[in-house]
Amino acid sequence: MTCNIPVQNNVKTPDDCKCYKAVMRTYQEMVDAGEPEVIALEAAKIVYGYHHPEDSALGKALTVERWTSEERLH
Amino acid sequence: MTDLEQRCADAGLKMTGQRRVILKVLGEAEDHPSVEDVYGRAKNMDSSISIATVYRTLSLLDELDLVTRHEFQEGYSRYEVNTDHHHHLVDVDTGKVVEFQSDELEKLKEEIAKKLGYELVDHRLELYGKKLKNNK
Repeated sequence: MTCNIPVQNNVKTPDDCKCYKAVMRTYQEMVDAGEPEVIALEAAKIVYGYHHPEDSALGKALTVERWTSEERLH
Repeated sequence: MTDLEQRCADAGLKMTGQRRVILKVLGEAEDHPSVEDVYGRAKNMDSSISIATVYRTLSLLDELDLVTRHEFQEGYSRYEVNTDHHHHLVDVDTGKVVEFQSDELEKLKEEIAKKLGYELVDHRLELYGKKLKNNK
């Protein structure tokens, strides 16, 4: 199950990725549940990894951390 | 109002500005802060807070069973907010996070640790799943 979207600098573009909402919801709901930031990120990476098993561990980490950090800055 | 503030209000604790700051410090703590730690962090948010206020508030919270006081053989106490023990199941398709509790799971974890020759002191568990098609 992959999104097959363009990748720039190892990071997938959120607008083009159908799993973006699931990843971000996981992150936000884990934070809202009082889980530490690092645990919320890990959960979001697992959800992302389910949708993108083809990605390397580094690619998964870079994409999810970019998405969540952009969300935090808004 | 945060969950902890609500539980304090439910327990009959009058909510002052300084207590609110102390509760915020406790709620955000990812460690087991000592009175001095709580005081230092609270002081950064409200410089008028005294260590006596922190002592009194932590004692009250302890009496109301809203925090647990740990003695780690360091000569002073550390505090932790009491939360209902639960786990999370994450829906990988939607990202929805479902909280759940399971007595069977708690027993099983204790049994596993015991079989391995350990007393369980902490653990972390998250489940990830897809909703079954016939389950609305």
